[in-house]
Amino acid sequence: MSQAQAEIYDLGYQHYDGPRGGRMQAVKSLWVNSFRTTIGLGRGARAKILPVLMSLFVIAPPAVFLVIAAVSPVAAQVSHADFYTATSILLLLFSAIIAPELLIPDRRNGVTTLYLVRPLTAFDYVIARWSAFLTVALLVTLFGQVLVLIANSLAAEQAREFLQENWLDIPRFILAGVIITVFVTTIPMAVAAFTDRRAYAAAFVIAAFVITTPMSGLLTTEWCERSMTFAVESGEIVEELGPEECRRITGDYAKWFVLLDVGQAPTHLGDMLFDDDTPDDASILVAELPPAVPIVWYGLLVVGPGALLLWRYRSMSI
Amino acid sequence: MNQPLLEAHNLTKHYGQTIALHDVDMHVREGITGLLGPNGAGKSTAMKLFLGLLQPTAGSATVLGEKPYENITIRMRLGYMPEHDCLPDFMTASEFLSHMAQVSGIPAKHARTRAADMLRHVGLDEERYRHIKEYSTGMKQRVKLAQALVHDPVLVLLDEPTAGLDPGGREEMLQLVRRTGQEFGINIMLSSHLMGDVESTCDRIIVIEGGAIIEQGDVSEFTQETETFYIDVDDRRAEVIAALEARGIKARISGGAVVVRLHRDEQLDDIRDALVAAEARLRRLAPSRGELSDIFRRSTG
Amino acid sequence: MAEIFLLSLRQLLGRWRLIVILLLAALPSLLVLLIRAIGEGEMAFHGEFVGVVIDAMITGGIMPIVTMTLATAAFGNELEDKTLYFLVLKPVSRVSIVLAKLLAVLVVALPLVIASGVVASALVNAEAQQMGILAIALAAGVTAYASVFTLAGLLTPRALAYGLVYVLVWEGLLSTIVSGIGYLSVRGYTLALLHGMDESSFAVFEGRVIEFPAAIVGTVVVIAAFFLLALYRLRTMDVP
Repeated sequence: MSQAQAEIYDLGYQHYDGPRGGRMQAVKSLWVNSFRTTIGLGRGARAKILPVLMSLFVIAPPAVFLVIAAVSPVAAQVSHADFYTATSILLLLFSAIIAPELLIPDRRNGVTTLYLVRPLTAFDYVIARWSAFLTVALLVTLFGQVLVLIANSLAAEQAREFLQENWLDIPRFILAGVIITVFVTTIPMAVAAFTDRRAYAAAFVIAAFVITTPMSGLLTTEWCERSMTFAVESGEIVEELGPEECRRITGDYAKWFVLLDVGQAPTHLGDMLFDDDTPDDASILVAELPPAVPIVWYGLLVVGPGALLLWRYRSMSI
Repeated sequence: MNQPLLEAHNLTKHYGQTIALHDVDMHVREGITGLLGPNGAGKSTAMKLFLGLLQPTAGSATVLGEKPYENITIRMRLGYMPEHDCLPDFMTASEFLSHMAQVSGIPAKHARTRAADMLRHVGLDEERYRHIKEYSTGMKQRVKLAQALVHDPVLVLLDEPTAGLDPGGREEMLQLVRRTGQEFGINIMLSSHLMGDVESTCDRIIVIEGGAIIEQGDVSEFTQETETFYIDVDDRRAEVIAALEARGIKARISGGAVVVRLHRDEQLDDIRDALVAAEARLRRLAPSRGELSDIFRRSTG
Repeated sequence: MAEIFLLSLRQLLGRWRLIVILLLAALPSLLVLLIRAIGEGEMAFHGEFVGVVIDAMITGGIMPIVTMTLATAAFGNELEDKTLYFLVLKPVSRVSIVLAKLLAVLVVALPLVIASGVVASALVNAEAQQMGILAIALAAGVTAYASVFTLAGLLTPRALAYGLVYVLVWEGLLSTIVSGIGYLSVRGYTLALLHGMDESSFAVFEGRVIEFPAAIVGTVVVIAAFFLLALYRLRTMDVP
């Protein structure tokens, strides 16, 4: 419509002559939307409960260390590797519950169609959603690690000296953070591509990770307990302690069965990055494996679901 | 613009063994074009090929001079309104439109203005800050149209825009479509299985059935050639049909009425005679302008 | 009521969902079979088996996740699909609706969870009495979870998410740090019931669990109170 007409019909339709971005602009705006959805912005108070709660869970432990370190001059150091081992389950809970939010409602409501008829491929769509969630997860994780770093330097005798000696931990925990967040982002998103209910996606992911931990534990832990059969026969437990017998159920294969605890796959790589003075049992066992094994295992657990996720969206008919 | 907006050459699409579209040639120029056909005729497939969502099995689909499957940036200039539900629950119409404009390439600051303008144009000015899940079906349909127009496309594809609307809502939607084409100057291709929709809105019609184009032309050509009449009688329909056929008029029963198609006005006298001969009591004799099934019947038989 | 029960049962038994749940429930037995095949030495119904398979895998994972998934779906899916409306329009009392939903959940969850524990126990040559006790305690736990999360499904569309947080954070992480959480934890009740009924077989729970009578009272109160709350909620809510 010409300028002259637009003046006559004040409320008339106006064509848009301004600048237009292409695919990059499309990906960018989808990324921003995903970021906001992840933290529950613009969706009312109830949508913010879970993201806030989950972030607090991840950040609470280092925040407690920080407070202890600030008030007590002789606080213990907390290793960056231990922080990941301890919070990986919380981080996983966070992403298992929130990440499906970015894919499933779009499919249920049919909004995916509107995205895919815009200058955006299925690949762009998935990458924008995925990377936005990854960013949030990474920010939460790194915030926790920064708290650990501050707590440790406060606990040290000389904060400045401590930082000079340990500054290499910063790139290490950033790299380890990327490793763990890529893991916890990709798997729930891949599961979310295959179910239309967010709750089932979350339950499936959590179940898979929660159940494999004790399974792997039973198979690999060195058990040094007294034999219970003695106790049952005598009825008196305490006095029946014989010589301590230690064994692993899977014997020499135990180091392989540690990998069954899929949720710890990224922390094995983290262990490789950090020099941990007090490694736990699982870390010691994994260290016996050729270094390529945990790397390949992690790769499979990320690339497999990632490929499935992309395949699912590329072959989706809309 | 001399080149056609949409062009298809020997366009063919197979889904495995199923042939959705076979050897289609199509040239769509400016204005409002109706893609008319029954469900499963290949209308949606044709639209998806023009949007570049599907790759042609053979032949080519061209939009604004580009092949959309190879160059998806052409979609910045295209709008699409799907037939099925496609709106988020927990977003306001204003937010949603602004977001969709940005995904189509409009920078954020312009997107907000365009979203507000567009909602005013489709008559949702007052409700724009309410969550979409609170909207009625008619309002949702208008948001669906608005999101297809918010980035000011050259051409917009509307897939069954009146599906699921009551008669009032349907008329409103068709009026909006007409305004979009005539006042906004946006070219439209709309698909429908209802002749009424197409007839009242479009300049040109492409009739498609079984994956092939069976007719195309201006709307007037379709509606003036023949006239269809409904004859309501108490009973004795079979006798009426026999009497009509004895006078050279083909008749069939549809919706409880006898339906005939007349080519000359004198044939009205034949109807009167046939009714008398059949001793049937006439309840109603009503003309109906072109009906979809008529067009198929005429084209195929 | 029978009609609602059967309808709910069909809703809960989606094909893929059932396969995944079955697989999950079979894991303890598969683990025991794996240990038999490659392990050194015999596994028995004591220490490691009770501590890991019964406690960590079943009461800490399979029992809550299977039951919660089904229980939150009982009303949750109806709300998400906006079909609860049709249900409350039927000339059936609200008590029957809640009861039918709860029964449908139990009919699926009870056999699955109990079998998950009992079959694995049989594989390590548990005695009949031990398996009976395990079945009773698991049945109590499943019913309590089902009651709690049937209500949760009526309260929020994110019920399962909150449920997972409760199981992992409250019952999983916090209960190992803060003592006393056992009084407010279905898993805590279940373990206490096991320990209370057979102190020697479940000796590994010694010191970790609450008193046997408290566990019985807790279980009964939770089942009854949350059932009544669900009923109250269904009576007073605006059905969309």
